[in-house]
Amino acid sequence: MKSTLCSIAQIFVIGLSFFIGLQKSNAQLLDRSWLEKTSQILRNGKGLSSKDPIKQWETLSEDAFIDLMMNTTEFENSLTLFSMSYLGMRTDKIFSPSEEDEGLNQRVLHNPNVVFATQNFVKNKDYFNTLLSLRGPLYMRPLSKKMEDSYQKPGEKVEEARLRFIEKVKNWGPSFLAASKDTSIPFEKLCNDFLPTLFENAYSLGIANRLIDNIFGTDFWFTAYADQCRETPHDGFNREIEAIRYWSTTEALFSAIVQYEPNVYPVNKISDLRTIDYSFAGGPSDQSVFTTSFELSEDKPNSSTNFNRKRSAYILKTFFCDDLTPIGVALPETHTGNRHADEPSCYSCHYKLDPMAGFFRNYGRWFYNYTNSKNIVLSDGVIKDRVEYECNWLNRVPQNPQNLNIGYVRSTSDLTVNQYGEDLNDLEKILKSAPEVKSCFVKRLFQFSVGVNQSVSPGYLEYLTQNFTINLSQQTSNDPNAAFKSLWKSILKSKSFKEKNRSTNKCYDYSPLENSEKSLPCEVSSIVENRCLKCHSDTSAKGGLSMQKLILLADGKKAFQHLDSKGVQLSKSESFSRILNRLGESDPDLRMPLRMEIPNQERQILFLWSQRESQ
Amino acid sequence: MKKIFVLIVLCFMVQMNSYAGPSISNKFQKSPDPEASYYKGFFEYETLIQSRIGQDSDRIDLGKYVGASEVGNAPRSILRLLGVYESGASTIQNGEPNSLNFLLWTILIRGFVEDHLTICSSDLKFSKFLDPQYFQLIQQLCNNQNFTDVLLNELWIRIMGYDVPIEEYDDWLISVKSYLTEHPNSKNEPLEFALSLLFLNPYLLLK
Repeated sequence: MKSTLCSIAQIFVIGLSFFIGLQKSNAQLLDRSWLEKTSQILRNGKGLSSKDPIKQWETLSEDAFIDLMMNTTEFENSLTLFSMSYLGMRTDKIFSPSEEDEGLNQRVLHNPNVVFATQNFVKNKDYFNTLLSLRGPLYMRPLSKKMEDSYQKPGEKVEEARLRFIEKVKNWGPSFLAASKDTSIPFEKLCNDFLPTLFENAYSLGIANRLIDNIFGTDFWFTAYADQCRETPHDGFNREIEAIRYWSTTEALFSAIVQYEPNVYPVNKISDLRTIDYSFAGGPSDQSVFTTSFELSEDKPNSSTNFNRKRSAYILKTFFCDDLTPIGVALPETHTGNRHADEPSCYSCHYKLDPMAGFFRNYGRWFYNYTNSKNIVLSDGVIKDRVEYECNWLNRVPQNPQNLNIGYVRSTSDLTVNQYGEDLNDLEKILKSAPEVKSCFVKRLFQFSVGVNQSVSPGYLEYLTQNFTINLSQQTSNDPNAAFKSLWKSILKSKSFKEKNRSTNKCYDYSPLENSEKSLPCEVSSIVENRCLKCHSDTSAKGGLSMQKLILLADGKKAFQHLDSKGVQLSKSESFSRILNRLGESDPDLRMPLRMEIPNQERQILFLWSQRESQ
Repeated sequence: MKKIFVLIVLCFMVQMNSYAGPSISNKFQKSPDPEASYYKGFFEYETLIQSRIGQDSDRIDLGKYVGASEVGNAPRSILRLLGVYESGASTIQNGEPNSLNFLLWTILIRGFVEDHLTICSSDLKFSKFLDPQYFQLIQQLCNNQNFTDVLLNELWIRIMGYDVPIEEYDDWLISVKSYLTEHPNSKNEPLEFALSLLFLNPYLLLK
């Protein structure tokens, strides 16, 4: 009997161990799936490989594994990719073997605040606020690995060829200076004789293209002279002074570039990148991201008619997640004709677009700063009186036709909720303080980690943002990126990220206060809860509307309980049409939520959802 | 060889029209909740492959299979059709599968698989791009007798990683073994079939 019981017990124990073993095996598989995904996100697309100590990693906590990944070299690239993605400049690869890129993708350097932010993260300095800076140091990638065949002899090292070329140029300089000084030589002849060499010096040395990587334009070096030769006059151009300036700049650059020769300056990761301060040569020490970025300066030109609105739209879209979808108005078919921005259909965007554009009012073609110039040159070549042009903004200026101020406008009725400023420094301060910017940053990080198309409850994003904001205020100089790291960890540990067969239409995470079983779609549930339910929790509220949940109507459609004056349930389309009208209403006594300022993005989500449901 | 690809391409296209779910057992069934899936994109796919089966010194250059080698100055605009991130955008461009870009993907993967098969004919040129352990694994699988569960499981993990449902592996295993049974006298076709299914698997190719 005893032995039978023992045998049964043994079988039971064996069975149990087998079952536990199976469970463990499944748990390991699950765990590895998360390790795999996390590795790909934090190691720049690199999955788990046989070289990785996977078994050891499985024993770590999730936080410890994320910390480990964040300390890898590949994380620099992941962080850079995310930062570029956040700024709407995502690229495929940070490092590329193509000849054009010579290792480092040029576009990375177009975003100096991105590189600076990544380097700061590696050095345990502030990442988040650096990313929000609209200026950054000038980074220099290694000089070209090869000069043109006419300059580099077969078998000659590139640094030797460059030195030889510099010696040749040094002999040319004095004759250029003398000719510029000699006023008997017509300027045209001076241009014919020397202009090609100006360019040759710049490009053959492999410096000019590196300058273009860093700052869009080489104006501090040779552009003024070249432009004057091409009959594009520069203010106060003096051929002799300009020649001296050009030559001293050239000599200074000759001395400086040696440290950027590829043989002494290998760049294998973002933290290897060195800065260059052109102030020694009369150039800038840092630069606006709008100037450095080809995409921003060229793709967002400031023509004589757009008044910097493209640049404004970029700021609103990128940092505030406001894609300027107007609410409650018919979109104008074109932005031309005799329309004015104060027409209602246009005003729904322009009330915030134009004041934001004011921050850029002194920046013309290629984002040149014309603050101290009489005129401003715009991207379409039109030259305007700068003071007159500036009068389009600043409501204290009498000539201001639209009474526009400069700033981030949240409301046109309650001006106290707006943030105003004068210049790009003020804009930067707004970016660093506006809650919408933090909320947008959280959304972008979620999208980057989980997927751009993944549905997410606004309540969950708000919950993450609240924690991020609190952590930002509490973090110490010992770990100035604690809030950012904690935010990313939260996202990587979320159900949305962990889910294997994810449906993009479904929300997986909610704030602790949210009820995930609600009948409302996740994209609107928290907005309705926070902005509408206070008044519309039952049909006794004005309008007979209860927004507690969607109910099944007699025709099989789902809608809110919404009664007309006789107490009869409205049809789905009628109910949502009424909601739609009130959301887009301009009269403050009718506009919903009543006398409550809500973020434009929330109003937009609610509006677009109601619009879909009303059809 | 061509037949295998046509078969795989047909299965894949049916599947992509439904969703990025299990690729074999449900291959002719519509998902109850169909959703659009996007390519990971050329560079993300290449990075993933590189990290799983490549080695650090000589990197795998998938662009060369569509005439767009990353080394040198070959025009690379064709890679844009395989899904890339372009300037001014944070979302993938050309990421939505269509007949043209899928054709390009199959050409690319076909070339890549063909290079794998050179290992079976003792041509070692391709081996320098591969992780030595992975290379040995392929060498072993050149012999159809070695299509054991252990080695096939290793091949799966090597290429697919861990972020794929187990059912997907089961389906792949059954398909490969069925192919082997149905083609008892084949040479390297089973390996070609197994690799093609893996490299074209939606869990690898799509987001």
